[in-house]
Amino acid sequence: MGKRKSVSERKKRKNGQEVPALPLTPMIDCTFLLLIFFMLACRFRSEEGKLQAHLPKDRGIPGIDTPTIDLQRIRVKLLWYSPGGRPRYTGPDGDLLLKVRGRVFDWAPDEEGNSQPDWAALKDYIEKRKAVYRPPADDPTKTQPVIIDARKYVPFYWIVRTLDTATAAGITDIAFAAPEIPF
Amino acid sequence: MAKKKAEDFEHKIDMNLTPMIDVVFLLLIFFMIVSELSALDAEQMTLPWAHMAKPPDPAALAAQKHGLVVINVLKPTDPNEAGIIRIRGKKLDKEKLREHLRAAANSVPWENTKKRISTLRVLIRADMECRYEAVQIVFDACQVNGIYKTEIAGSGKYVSPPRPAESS
Repeated sequence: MGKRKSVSERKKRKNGQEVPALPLTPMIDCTFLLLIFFMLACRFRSEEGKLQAHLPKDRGIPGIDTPTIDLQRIRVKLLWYSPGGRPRYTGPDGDLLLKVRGRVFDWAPDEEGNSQPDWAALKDYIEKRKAVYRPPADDPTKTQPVIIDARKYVPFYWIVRTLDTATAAGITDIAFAAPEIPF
Repeated sequence: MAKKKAEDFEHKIDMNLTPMIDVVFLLLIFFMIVSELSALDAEQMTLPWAHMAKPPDPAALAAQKHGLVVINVLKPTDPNEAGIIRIRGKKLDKEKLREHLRAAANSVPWENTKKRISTLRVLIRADMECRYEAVQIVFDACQVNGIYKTEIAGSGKYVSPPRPAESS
């Protein structure tokens, strides 16, 4: 019995030695596994950008250490009018009006032909104001401040467009105005 | 000879477990990653257009992981609402958001303990169609808790305005 078995075993081994094929399947499996792992691991960061928008740091007790109001600041107003042209409108179907110191920035077509407030004109305006800005004596490092003052019904898109335009004009000191009615 | 060979092959029949294990591991890793993805901070929404928005660089991202709160503000389903504020998939109202940020600010070191200025950073991801009011609520909650390092997410690619507003 034992003799016979050894003979058949030898034969088998011989047969096996005749075809020394490399088993590729596990390698391909592993490769795919790694490929999918790295694809998933690398891709889940979406390509979105960020705008720096630091909120004012000085909170303190009201009345103490009040920062002086910079008269040279630019207050960009994003107002919300009713379809009939009534200001201080509270409804989702209103219209945006971009205003700085009484100057209205009218609608203009953007690069895709959609109508948007004239951001190029606003950028130009901010750049011109920034060029003549004089920092106060007590803080020579201060740069042109811009305040974004938007009504609460304005869609967020327009706030980011304003922030983007101010950033494009080289403004680093950007603040958001407090809501009309505090929370 | 031919008969013997056929017999040998018959004896060899046994299940090949390797591919099955491979596939099981593959599925395991796939579901692990997918479940982690769904729990990720970034929710699906249309971000507003901002040319100047800088894509975060990977080195900074790795360093930022700690002490960063991502607040999602989604477009409301009801037009009378301002927006839906969510952190890690959990919907929060004004009060809950303040509480959440207070706890988060307490969990990281203070930049200025006396003035209660936090080192915590907040990334606000707001849908372009949500009302500014919802973001004001987020700003307010940040400021109440001494968080001033806020960032706003924007899309570097062109996004058309929320509603084609006619010039009037």
